[in-house]
Amino acid sequence: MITATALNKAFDDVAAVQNVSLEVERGQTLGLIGPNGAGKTTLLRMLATLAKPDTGAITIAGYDAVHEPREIRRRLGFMPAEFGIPRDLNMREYMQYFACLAGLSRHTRDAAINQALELTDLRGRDDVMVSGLSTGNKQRLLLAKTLIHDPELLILDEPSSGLDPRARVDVREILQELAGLGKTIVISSHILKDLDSICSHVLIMEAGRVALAGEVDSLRRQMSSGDHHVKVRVFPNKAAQAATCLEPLTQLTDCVIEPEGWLRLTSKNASNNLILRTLLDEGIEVLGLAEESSDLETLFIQSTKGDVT
Amino acid sequence: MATAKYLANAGQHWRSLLNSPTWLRDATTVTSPWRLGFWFMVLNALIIGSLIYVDTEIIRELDNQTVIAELGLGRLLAGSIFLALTTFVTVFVPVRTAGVFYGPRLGRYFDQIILSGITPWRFLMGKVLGQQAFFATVVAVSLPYFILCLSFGGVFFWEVLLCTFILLVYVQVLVIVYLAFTTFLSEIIALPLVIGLFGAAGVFGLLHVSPNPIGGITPVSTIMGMLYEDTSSHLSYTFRGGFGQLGLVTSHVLLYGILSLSMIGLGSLAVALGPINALTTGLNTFGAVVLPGDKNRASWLKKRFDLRRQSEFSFLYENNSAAWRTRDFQRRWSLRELVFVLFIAAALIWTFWLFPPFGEPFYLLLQLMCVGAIFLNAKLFADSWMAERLYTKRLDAGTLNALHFCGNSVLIWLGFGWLPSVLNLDVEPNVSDSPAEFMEIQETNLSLVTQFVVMGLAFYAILRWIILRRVNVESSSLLAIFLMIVIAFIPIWLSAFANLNTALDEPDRFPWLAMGNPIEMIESANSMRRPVSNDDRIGLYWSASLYSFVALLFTALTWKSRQRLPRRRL
Repeated sequence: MITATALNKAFDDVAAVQNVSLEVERGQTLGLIGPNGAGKTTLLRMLATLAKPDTGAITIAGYDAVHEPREIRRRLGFMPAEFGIPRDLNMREYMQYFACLAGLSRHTRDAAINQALELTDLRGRDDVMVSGLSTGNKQRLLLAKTLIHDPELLILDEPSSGLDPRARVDVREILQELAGLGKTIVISSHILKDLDSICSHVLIMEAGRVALAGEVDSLRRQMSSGDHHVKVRVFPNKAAQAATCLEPLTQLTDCVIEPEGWLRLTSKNASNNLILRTLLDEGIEVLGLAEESSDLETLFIQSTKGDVT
Repeated sequence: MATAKYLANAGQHWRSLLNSPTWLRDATTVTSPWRLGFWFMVLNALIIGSLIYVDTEIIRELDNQTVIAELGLGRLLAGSIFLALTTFVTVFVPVRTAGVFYGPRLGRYFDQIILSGITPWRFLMGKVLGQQAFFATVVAVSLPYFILCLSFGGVFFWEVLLCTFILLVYVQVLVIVYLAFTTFLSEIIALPLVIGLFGAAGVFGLLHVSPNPIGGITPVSTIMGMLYEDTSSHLSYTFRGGFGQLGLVTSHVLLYGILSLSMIGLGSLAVALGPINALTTGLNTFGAVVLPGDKNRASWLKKRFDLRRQSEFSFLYENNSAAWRTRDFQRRWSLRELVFVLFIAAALIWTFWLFPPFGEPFYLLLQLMCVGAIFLNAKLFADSWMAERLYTKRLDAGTLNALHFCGNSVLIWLGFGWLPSVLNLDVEPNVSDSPAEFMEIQETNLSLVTQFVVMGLAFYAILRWIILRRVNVESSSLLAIFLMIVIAFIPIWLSAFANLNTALDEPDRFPWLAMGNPIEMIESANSMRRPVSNDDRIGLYWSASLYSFVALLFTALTWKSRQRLPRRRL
């Protein structure tokens, strides 16, 4: 769906994007992660045909982004980080304005508006003035507007920015639903937990460059070098005994006693069952067990150095 | 079959226009209560003001009693109401059309409009539809006043209907011309320009001359003409010329119709074709607020009237059809040529066909138009920097500019210097009676045009150099004009400082000092309709040398700046 090769974009002598290449297949969800000033928004604007790369090429759905931008724009839904609204409009008028812009005919317009509002849980608030909406509802409305012409590709710049936890969960669920509908999504966000549950692929940027890119699961495996981390909780006075009885397990490479009776176990392929059985056979009561995996935050911290452009 | 297909296509286009988002927005603003209240207040004030004027300045003057008796008070009042409506729409139609780009930009959703893929035509034409609703509101608000006229002697029904139709056409002219200006200039500049242009034309329209080609672009001359013609004491100043020979002298309506349709046609063409003078697609920096070199540029040079004007240009280019975009080179270069040729043709027709018997003042008008043509020539080609692509060939824009400038300079020389003499156009019957004297005029014309061409070349070089510093085209033009004025007057100021104030007090002794400015050059040339003296020649040599030097200096500066230009912009 998207192929970008060796993209470069500079503003005066500040290189915002340097030699970035990426590929997104149809139906994939790519998460764009990076600190402020990493070049995420510039990259998204180039993909959305709103900025022209100084060098490099972008092809979306087979069309060249520099020479055939209009063909791409018809297939694209772009949600900017900045929320701009026409004045004095209620929610229905706002949606009608953008439906007209997208060229939806009078007959299909209402159905498309209802569908987009339904998807974003905004149905039944037609007369509410847009300027009076809460930040969360504004983001939902912006997303509804982005979806109105049923685009194949969604480019979302910080969709959860400024939202409270409840609204963030709502937006995350909407995005999961869209991914389930087979949409290709490119999304940037600072909130890594949100991306963790949505993205199949990730691209981590730092100082305009790609720091890490690939499929999320495969990156996790790479970063953890095949190690399996499990945390087990026992009564604090039994922690030392538990560590001693687990030591003989050949698969176990490390065992660290942590406060409040927690033991952090690193193993190559020890199953949780084996660990539990060993402890129970010794008469040690297990209060809790949690598997630890490399999340996006770990990937991000490990792959970036904190540089900004 | 073909007709059915054509009709189906036309129907589809019409439906697509009705589906314009700008029309949707405009329809909501027309019904907005506070806006309606404001317009109602202004319109009432204007109409009542015009009625008070008729009452105090016309009705109470004893001299006008015959006129009032002949016309009927009702017709006179209806005429004044139509003039008030004309004034109202002249201001408010462009004001309401304004904001087609600025509104979305200030609301921070212009990017969303661009990304919708909407064509510029569909987006802009929504504004035309919006003005129809506005006009209907205006007519509805003024209806009670027309009913009032019925009780003051009545009106001619057909006359009121015709004037309403003329006003409706005028609304289309205003909105189309404004949109055409907007695609070429920024809205900040286009708004006062359109209101000023049509306002001034309206004032000209009050003059009872026939034909009135300047006043004829507004309904004023038609409305006034209808009233004038029914009074026995009116004085009719009829120009001798083409219209007179064709027997169309008194047909204000016909002249208005021709001029209005021409403006609507040309304006629509300009809107459909987009900004021919603007950036090529490859040059857009779309949304980029930092321009190359800004870091090292003085803060006042970073100031731009329209920070995101380039994104508007890009919108006007990029959201057009593929066929439109593939003929980019032909469209831009051939159309700027057409604009220029039309300007020269209009200047010649205006001067020789419509105003032939007035001699000196209109000869001066021709010369000023010649100066205008040269500056237009310089302006049209100064802002193109990209290497152009014609089919598969890449052409250097600098070479194309040079070729066009030289070609057009010959055109100016032919149009303003040679053609009128060869066609034996009757410019100044009082002066050029004898063949010898006529030849002298021809020689002066040619010399003057040559001088102006050198001046135009200097302007072109200055403008191109400033544009290269990445100041936008509009502010560059103002800056270049300012520099030209400074150059024109520097010799006089220097001489004043050096106590050679004789240059100002006794220009005859030092004619060459003043010859840097076009007005003085025209003045000198007009007084040279006699054998040219050596003093005159010194003036011409001085002027040609000064501007040749300026042109060379700025060409060298441009060449040097171009070397430093980032590779990607060339």
